[in-house]
Amino acid sequence: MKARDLTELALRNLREALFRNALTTLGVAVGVASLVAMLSLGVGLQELASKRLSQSGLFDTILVTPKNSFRGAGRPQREEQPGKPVRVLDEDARKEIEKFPNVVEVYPQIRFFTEVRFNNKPFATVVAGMPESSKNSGSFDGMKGHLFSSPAADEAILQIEFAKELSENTDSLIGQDLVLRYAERQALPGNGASSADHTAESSGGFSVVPKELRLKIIGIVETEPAQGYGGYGNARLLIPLETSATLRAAQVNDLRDIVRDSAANKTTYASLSVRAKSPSQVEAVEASIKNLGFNAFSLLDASKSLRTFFSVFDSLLGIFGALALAVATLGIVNTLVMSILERRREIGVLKALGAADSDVQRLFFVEAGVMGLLGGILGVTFGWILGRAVTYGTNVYLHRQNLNSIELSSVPWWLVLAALVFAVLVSLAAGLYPASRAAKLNPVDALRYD
Amino acid sequence: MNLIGGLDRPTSGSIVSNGQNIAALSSLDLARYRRHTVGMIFQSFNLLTRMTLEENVELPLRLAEVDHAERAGRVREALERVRLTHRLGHRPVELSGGEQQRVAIARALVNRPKILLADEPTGNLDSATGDAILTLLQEQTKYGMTIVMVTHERALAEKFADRLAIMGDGKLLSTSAAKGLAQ
Repeated sequence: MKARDLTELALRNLREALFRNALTTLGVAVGVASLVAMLSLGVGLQELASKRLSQSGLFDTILVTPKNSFRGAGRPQREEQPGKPVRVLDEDARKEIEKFPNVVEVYPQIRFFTEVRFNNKPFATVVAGMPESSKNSGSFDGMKGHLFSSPAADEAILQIEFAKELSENTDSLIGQDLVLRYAERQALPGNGASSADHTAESSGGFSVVPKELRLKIIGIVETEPAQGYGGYGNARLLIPLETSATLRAAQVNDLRDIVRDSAANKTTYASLSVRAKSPSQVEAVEASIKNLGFNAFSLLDASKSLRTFFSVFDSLLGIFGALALAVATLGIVNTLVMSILERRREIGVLKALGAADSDVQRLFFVEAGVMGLLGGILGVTFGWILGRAVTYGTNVYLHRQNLNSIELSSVPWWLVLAALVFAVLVSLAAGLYPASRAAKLNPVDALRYD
Repeated sequence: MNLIGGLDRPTSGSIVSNGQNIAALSSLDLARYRRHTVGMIFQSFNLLTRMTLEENVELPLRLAEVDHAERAGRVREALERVRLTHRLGHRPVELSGGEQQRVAIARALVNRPKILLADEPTGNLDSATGDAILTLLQEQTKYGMTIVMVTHERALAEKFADRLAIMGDGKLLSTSAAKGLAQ
């Protein structure tokens, strides 16, 4: 029999016992819905975590340090290649790294201790320079106020705990000024120091001069923004990176620079943050940086562990979802076996008219497949609605807690297709026994059946 | 009848129908034989009650994979031969017993079989309707078709058959021309 005839006959048969077949199809739909809803939550959570982590820069950032950085008191300097001078992490190196393929940006980490004066009271804290890219990284999600108006603005964003130290009413801080007191490095005269360099000091040394800068508070951020693991987790006062660079504030590594036998009178950095286009590019970029003669660190392994965790998590959710579908397949078997009993005589007539065993078998297969497909379509729809409902409910709760809404469930195309194919395959498997039983019916016995 | 119709298999011996030993055919070939060589009508009509007349008659064409375009004409032709074209969209339950048997005949004829097997076709009908059905069957022989009919009504057999075979207790007792049997 042709496929079109088989389908027409199967649909006609399904229509005849509409209520029972609809219930069976609904059973499949509930099974598929639970599977899709579970997996959509798993996929959604994975996407959410990946997005947040990717925004945080944890997995696409490489921390670059020179090989001669301090390794702790009493420990000798490591000489990887004796006789070869250790490469300095300077502006040349920064530009060289910036030219690597798949590198989005390279910026120095500027952070220093400071004393803030607000309402004539002193407060000690750490200042960090935020690169322009942090605006889009999600670091400032949920902040009060606004972001820096320009890359070199004299503006500051406070971390909420620090803001609470300044004033009980943190909201009132926005728009007010504070004074930043810091130690500026000044090159010693006669040593040929380049005054143009922001962070450069001659190897001959520098003097430290106390300076002040008036900053306008423009925002308060709830959580500590993390921009890379060498980042600003401990910094409680955030200013634009360019602003922080122009201050030429003395940093922790300055003492090392002064005692080191550095031949060049160039800008040197304690560390650089290198952002790759995506976490998948990190490994290659990291290798290229190491080839230049620097230390490079990334959290790629942690990213791999995260993917492994979500694979296991999705599998577990899938198994729970599939249990409902397994129950639904029993419904298909039951419906088709009942159908054989009811249609015994019809099967006999079909065989008397020339139907081969395989025709009867395929007819029952198509009926099972149609129930699976319809159940799959309904199930994917229900599952999607269920996912949306869970997301909606979660977001209502998050709004009440003054938190940002999130996309908790996600139904990508591959999940829709996989659910449909799975529903049909499972239904066909459920139809195996009834179809084979129907095909084996003896036509003479079947025609005698009342 | 089941053996000649290819519905059952003999435990021994052979059945030669249309020049081939159908006892030796595979299951698939036997299905082809039922589809193309024989048509069957039964005492209880065996129409599918949830299908219309048209759909019932079309069923053998679906099994024989006849082109869709050709089917409507073939169904109409078969129903014309039993004079039921005006009830194409009706379901079997809406018809009388005689009409249902006529539909069954149309269904058996639609694939233009060489042999028509009729198993007590008048068993569920009154005598007038039974007569009409047998007259209708007799008309089909003009299309070059062999009709094998089983009946318990000897008078009917003698009236319509060209050849008679008498069976008793599962054994063939005699075969002869109808006229000879009457004598």
